[in-house]
Amino acid sequence: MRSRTCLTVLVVLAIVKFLLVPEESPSAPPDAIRVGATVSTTGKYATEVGPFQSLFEAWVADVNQRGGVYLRHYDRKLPLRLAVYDDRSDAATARRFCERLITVDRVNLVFGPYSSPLTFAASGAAEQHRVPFIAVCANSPKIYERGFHWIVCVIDAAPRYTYRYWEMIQAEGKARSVAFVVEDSLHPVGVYEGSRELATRAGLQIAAAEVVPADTADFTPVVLKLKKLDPDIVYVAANIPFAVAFMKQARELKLSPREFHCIHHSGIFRQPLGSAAEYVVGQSYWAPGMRYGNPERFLSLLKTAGINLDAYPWSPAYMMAFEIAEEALSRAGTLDPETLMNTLRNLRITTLGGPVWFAANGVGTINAYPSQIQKGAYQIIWPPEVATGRHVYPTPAWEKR
Amino acid sequence: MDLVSFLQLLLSGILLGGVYALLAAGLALCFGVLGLLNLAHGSFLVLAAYAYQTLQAAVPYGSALGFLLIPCLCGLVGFVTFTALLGGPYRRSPEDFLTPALLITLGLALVLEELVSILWGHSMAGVEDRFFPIQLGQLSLSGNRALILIMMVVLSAALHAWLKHTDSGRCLRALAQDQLAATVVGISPVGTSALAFTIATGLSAMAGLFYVTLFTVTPHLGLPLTLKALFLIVVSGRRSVVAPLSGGLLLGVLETLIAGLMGASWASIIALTTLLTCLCYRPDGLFTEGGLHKAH
Repeated sequence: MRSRTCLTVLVVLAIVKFLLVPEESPSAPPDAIRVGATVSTTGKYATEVGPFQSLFEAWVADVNQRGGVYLRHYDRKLPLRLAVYDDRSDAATARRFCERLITVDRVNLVFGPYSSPLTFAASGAAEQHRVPFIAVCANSPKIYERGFHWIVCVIDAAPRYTYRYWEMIQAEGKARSVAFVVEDSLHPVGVYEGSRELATRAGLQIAAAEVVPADTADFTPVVLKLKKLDPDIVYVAANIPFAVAFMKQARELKLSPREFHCIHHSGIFRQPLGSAAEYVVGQSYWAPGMRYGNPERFLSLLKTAGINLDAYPWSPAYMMAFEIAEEALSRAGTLDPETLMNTLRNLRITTLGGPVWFAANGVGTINAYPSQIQKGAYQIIWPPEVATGRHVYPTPAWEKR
Repeated sequence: MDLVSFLQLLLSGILLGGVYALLAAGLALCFGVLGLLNLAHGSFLVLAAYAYQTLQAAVPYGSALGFLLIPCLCGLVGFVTFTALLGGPYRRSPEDFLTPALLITLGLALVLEELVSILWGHSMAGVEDRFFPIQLGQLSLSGNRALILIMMVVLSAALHAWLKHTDSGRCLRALAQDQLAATVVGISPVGTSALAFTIATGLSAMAGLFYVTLFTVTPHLGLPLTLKALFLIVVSGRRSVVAPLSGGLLLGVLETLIAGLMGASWASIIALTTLLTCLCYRPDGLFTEGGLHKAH
């Protein structure tokens, strides 16, 4: 009987406390800045960004080691608090975890997942809940044609992915024709469509455009056709597995254009090709020797996270997203979502990969630089003010590579 | 299309057939002869591919060492797997073995996938092809693919001879035909099946070593490769170890010629539709007994 009375009193006291104690004042300083992300730790995109949770953790630890980010509205530095989920490379899961980050973890800022399909799905949750969303590696124009307010993207749209390359080709005036070999999947086709237009504008003749299924195991028909046409540039718009298989057969069948361009040509492209990868031109967001931003900090974060730049070429784009987030938080000086989003949209800073600002639809200005594999290293070859090496054109014969 | 291009396409198609046959060899032995659908076939292939890449990069003469060691080690893992995981259900109910085997090998495939992810991270595996192309007049021949085709012809012949002319091979065929009768005459079902599974796993590993020199491999490629191999076996005929070579050659030549004549995007769809149409008339596969040639 006595214990029951005690219990009743406790319950009543708890209810009274709940009713009487006022809600935390909106202006009361928060204890931390909550940032969230989904990473494809498993599934098909794990080969691209699998260990990137460590990169997020390294960045958060680095910021917190310096006391956090100063927000003038609260007149104090606040530490970052990170929440990360594995989206399993699946769009529905990415969307679900983005919802969870916003509604359960109460994050102030979301970093988008890897790839356009996942970002397309996840960004809907941020828009619905009015939380700033920084898309990182998601350049399909479809994402930004929806009129969303709460999204910005670090990188430029897919159709412009290789515009600097065509600028260089036009400026050099050596190549006259190009043949496209395109992997039939979303991103490569998007890049091809833009590149075809840019190549035409640069004055090149389109010798051929072969759209080939992603799981093609034999490229002999395509290679034979290209050998007959003998274009100056063979432009391979493909993901790495496709590009590696194509390049191996191109060497076997002695296809010898003046230049091979593979839009993705990172370390995992170079390694299985060995000397066949020499002089291939592709795109890099960053290469050692570039002078923008704070490369030392980036390399230190990679080291802490145990990530190899060669194997994970998207890591510079994530670093730029971190730089954008830090600067936007610092300039906004508050965690108010509307203020933070407006600051993001009007931001103009120089990141690791160069200057960045955002168009009205949220698309950013960071674009890849043409880079060429020379003696196993990546040399940025255009524009001259960023170049770390000289463009070798035409490519030496197969035996001399 | 001129004659040289046609011959080049034909040659490439034949070589591609060798690659397809190589993919299916281990699974054909397991599924075709033993009646065991090993869903971990592709995962063993992936495991071997990663191990080969590591060995090749770490040790002098790693390539040669890999070809000697990895299939044997994977075969050993296959033996242990069969004895520890599959032997029990097989002993208890040999006639209803297909369902437990499916579940167990599916679980094994997922475990192997994770194991590869843990051991090698998530990065792709790919090994430089060190064979130079062979030039036959105006025709170019991939050294690596030619080696695969030669190996597949020799391997198919060896497997065929083993099944037909050796005691252990005869035991396996007897087991495939009538398990009860085979047991009555003193054949050990578990021992014989374990032997077949060991060889099949070794073949999967061998396929992995070649596959990674032609293409790239990711930890999650195992199940898709198993499905591809399974399709080829079903189309070729599952009761023969030679059928995948014939089926592979037919599919390879069809795909390459169609791609050359009509464009790459038509190749797979027309080749597969042709083969599936043929299956309507030969539901047991194109190259099984009563088909184009006798199996074994």
